[in-house]
Amino acid sequence: MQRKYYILLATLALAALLLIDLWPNDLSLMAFWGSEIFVELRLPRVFSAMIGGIALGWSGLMMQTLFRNPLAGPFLIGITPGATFGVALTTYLGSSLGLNETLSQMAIQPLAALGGAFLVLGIQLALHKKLTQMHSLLLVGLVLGYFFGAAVDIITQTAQAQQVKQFVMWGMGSFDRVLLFELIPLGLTTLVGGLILIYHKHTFNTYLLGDIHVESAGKSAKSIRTWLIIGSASMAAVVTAFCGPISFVGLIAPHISRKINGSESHQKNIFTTAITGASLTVAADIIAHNAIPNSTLPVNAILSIIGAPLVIFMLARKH
Amino acid sequence: MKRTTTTPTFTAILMALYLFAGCQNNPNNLNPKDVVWITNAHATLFRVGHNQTDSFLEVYNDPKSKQLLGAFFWGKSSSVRGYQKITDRHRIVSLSAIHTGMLAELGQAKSIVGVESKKYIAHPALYQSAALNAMIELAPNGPIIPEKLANLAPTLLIGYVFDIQEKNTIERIAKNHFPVVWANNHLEPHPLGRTEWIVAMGWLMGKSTESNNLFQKIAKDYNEIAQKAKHTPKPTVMMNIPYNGQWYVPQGQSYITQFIKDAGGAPITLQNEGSGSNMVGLEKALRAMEQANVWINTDLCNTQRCLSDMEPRVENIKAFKNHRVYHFNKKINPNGSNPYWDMGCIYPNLILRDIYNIVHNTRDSLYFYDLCP
Repeated sequence: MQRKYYILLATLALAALLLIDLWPNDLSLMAFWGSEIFVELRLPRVFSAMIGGIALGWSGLMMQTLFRNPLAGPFLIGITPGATFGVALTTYLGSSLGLNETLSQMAIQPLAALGGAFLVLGIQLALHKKLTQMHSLLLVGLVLGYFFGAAVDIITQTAQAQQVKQFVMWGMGSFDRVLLFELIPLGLTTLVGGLILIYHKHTFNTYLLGDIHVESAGKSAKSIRTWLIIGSASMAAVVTAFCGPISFVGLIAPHISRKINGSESHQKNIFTTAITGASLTVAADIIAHNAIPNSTLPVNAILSIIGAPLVIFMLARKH
Repeated sequence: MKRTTTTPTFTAILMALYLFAGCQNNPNNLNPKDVVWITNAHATLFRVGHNQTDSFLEVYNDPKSKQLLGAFFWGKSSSVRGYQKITDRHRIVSLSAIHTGMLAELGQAKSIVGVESKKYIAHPALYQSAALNAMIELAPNGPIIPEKLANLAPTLLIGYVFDIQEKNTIERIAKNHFPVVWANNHLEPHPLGRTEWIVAMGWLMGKSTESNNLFQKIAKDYNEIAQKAKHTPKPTVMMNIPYNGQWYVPQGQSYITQFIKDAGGAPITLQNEGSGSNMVGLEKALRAMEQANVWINTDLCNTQRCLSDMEPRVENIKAFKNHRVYHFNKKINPNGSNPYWDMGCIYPNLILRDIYNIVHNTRDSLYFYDLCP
């Protein structure tokens, strides 16, 4: 059996553990499955962790293809800072606009995050047609990241304590907040991103060799880049909007996948990146909820703690 | 050769400096004679004492470490080893809205020349008053502006330790110019412990009799309500609201759970020990709170609609279904400042009475709280 199937089995086992085994002691298994807690909280949490992991893994894979750089991730083209800016802005302006009573600030947070992320996406799409060098696009992403980071700093500096608290909580990343119906936009965007990846997988392989190879195959490198930006940014934006900024998955899932497959080929890596991403987020969620009794740790922190040594280990082994 | 002789000398100087610096914070080094220290009823982070010539105040860091943060005196002596003399109280900077409120209660508002930010001051005696208008804001939108503080040239600063960097900045400016009293009353776990700091404020202002009387009056009222609540049924009470799938659930010895216990309720906590709170995921929190009889402290949400917009799954909570959800924003000012925080800290008896009425559904009128429609 191939190694990737072991990972798939591990993912499924983790999800099953989360869905079946970790149920409250005071309820029978059947009673727990029928409870509102299971349907309204556990199911959306597990599925958002799985879909989020898949989306971020694919987003990272596309981003690393776009820049032909294994260090690329949603942060690099400014998507995460853009989404963060959107949330900070609505959190701060929410009470001035009377959003507390009419439409909760937190209910509009996903929309605000999407707005911020798509603003960056729009800027990137507009600029990439003018910028021929990939490093210019990368630089624009970094500059946008710094710009929105600075704007967020100014906003939080002038915000009230409770607004800052609300914003900080969003920044920790959580799958708990996702509602059952929110799985639909999350799943649909991931599906569209996956379809782009599957449809263009051969062209993306050619793109990795350089623009000249794409052009010689009769295709436009700019159009490939447009697909890569739209696909990766949309998936990262939607996950950030519903779950908050989730770090490291986009960076390390494609790395692990390439290691498993021993190949850069997109055909081989689409599936394994998805299950690796899902394994990482589900594992992080299980640790976050069960590492310390009576407390829940931030998923983002768990992923960084798992992710950082993993990247260093992989880099060290490579050399 | 030169290197071998200078290194030990340098190390010895460093060690001597280190020991000297360490001794400065050692309470055993302070030596006023025959001081009678007064035992506080609830407060743990300050103590006041007297001897035949002088009066003393010591303030401490936090309930666990009890590290000395400052020692002060006033009286006949020109100096007491280890203690800083309070000589002039006419130009005070008060960084906390609660301390500012306490000074106002003692009739000293006019002595305050600077505050951290006016937007948190909601005490009725100060809000929109001429005294507040005359005060300078030192940190209207962020950390203290050092130049503003230096230019203000206060004779006394009353602060609280929140950010160690800011503490260091303030102490650098204050050095050899004015005393700084770090009043960490926000770390006192018991509501009356926080209130008792009015005694320390009274000591600083030379108003000990007035402050003692005020504290006794408040404590008496508080204890009477607590006594009345002792033998009543204990409805379960949940607190706070979820933020992005996370819920801060107060621990068993926290400020708010003490109110609920004293009001005759059973606070829903996930951990009996500790005075902070546990950040838990929504599932864990809702599982614990599903059967709560009463829900209080809904933060900025004043309606049940706001709560369900924020997180629809709270609709399954018993208190929500039975419309027993209460916010503490009844007295909120148009600028968003809420006397619940500053005045409520000085008058915890008002908060306790409200919670008692809420928990036992007495239908008596509420002061800070109101039902979420």
